[in-house]
Amino acid sequence: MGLLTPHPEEKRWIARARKGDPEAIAALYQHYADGIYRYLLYRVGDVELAEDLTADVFLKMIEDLPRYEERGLPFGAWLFRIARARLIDHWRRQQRRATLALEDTETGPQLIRDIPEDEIATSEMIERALRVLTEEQREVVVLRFLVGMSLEEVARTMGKSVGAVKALQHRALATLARYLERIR
Amino acid sequence: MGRATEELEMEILERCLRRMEEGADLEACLREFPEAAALRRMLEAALWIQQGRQATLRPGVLRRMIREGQMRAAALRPSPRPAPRALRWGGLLAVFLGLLLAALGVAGAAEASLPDAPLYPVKRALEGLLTIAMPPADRALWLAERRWEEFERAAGQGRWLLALAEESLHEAEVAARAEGGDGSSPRAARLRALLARQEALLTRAAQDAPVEIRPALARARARWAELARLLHMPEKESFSSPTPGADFVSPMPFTPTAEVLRERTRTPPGLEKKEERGEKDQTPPGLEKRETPPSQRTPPGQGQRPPTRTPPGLQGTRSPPGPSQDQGSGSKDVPPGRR
Repeated sequence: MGLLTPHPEEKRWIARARKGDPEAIAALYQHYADGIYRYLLYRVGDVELAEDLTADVFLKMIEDLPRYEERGLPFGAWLFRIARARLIDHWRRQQRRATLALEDTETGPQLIRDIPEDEIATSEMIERALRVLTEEQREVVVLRFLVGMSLEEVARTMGKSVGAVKALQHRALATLARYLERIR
Repeated sequence: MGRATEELEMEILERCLRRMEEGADLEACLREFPEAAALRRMLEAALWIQQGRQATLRPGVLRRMIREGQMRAAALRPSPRPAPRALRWGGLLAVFLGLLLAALGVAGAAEASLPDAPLYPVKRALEGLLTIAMPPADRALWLAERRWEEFERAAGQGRWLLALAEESLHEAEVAARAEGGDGSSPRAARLRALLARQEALLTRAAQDAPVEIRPALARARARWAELARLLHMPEKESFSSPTPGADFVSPMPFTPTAEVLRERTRTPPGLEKKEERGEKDQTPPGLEKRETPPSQRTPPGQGQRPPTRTPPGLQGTRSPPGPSQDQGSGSKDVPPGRR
């Protein structure tokens, strides 16, 4: 069961959240927030920025909820598309502040004081390792191994075929294996 | 590496990854798929990356996000939308109220209309509806009051719509006849009040109305006098007995009833010829033809009438061609108090 496999209560949450029901809104946040956050964290490499972007994604979800209709696209996949769109917006804004943005990306994740040290260390190492991948490989690895999607869910979220995603995954893991061997 | 080999490797890798996701460890997976031994490092890399899943939102941050989301939802949907059925009924009610208001507006505008206005037929049609259930006497009195009110308003604009006056008098007569001899009922009081209004305006009309409508005015006043008699109106309220102190001289004295007219026009025997002689005596011999313009020549057989007095303010007004019967009789029958 992948991350995007709907929760049994999901349809009811969506219907109630559309009417502004606070409990249903909280349930949708609790079910999807960590996955979205991890995706954004390992794509931007900054805890605070990932938190801000996650908050933005869910506010956008609240605004667009009345327009969401399940037409072959599960709610989770719809939410990740919002997250990807927010990420692209963020990168475009960063490109306008090129110098500063370059420095930020060079320094790796900005760590937060109340996150455990070992977690920071792992996250930092993973973030560095991911930088050896191409953009698409990184997207596949993050969605598949950090967010926890199935191959099919990754393909649906990225709008690619399962075969293309399988190939990207294979090449990404081969690159990561070589990287890990080199740093050990 | 050939394409077929690479595809096989990708397939084995994916199978192992799924087994590991289902809970199998790496060694068990490699035992299950011996051909995956070459992929061990890749599988180890996947397992290492998966450690990053422990990264979660800090609880305080998640709580704050949820609160923000709930507030945004509340701001976007401040009040629950009415159910579609309620909306439909609301729409119908709004349309009905709109039509009702429009109808009331038309009825209100029609109520203020006079006979030459486009909405006047609407007013009359509504009157027909409103009076359906009324007793005939009440209906007649109500219509008499309304017609007279219209006559008054038109007169205030300088228009003398005598058809309205005649209709009002007719309806008032219907009401008066239905009343019979009972003069103490509220209806009789209303009738008397109406008659007082009618008397006041007819008196003013005698002063202000153009000469050409005076014959019709005289007929209206005659009808009014009959009504006054029917209702046993006090003498002071009738035209024959003007209000004490009134110095108005009627330009067209009114003959209230045929009976009164007969009484008043009766000339004592022997006096008639004397009057005629007196008038003739006042005209110098040979001067009569020269003083009278051809257009105002007295028709044959009416030369004995005394000259008509022109009221103050009407001296410049041309009299209608030919002498009027009402004017003729009026000039004779002006009561002493009106001269």
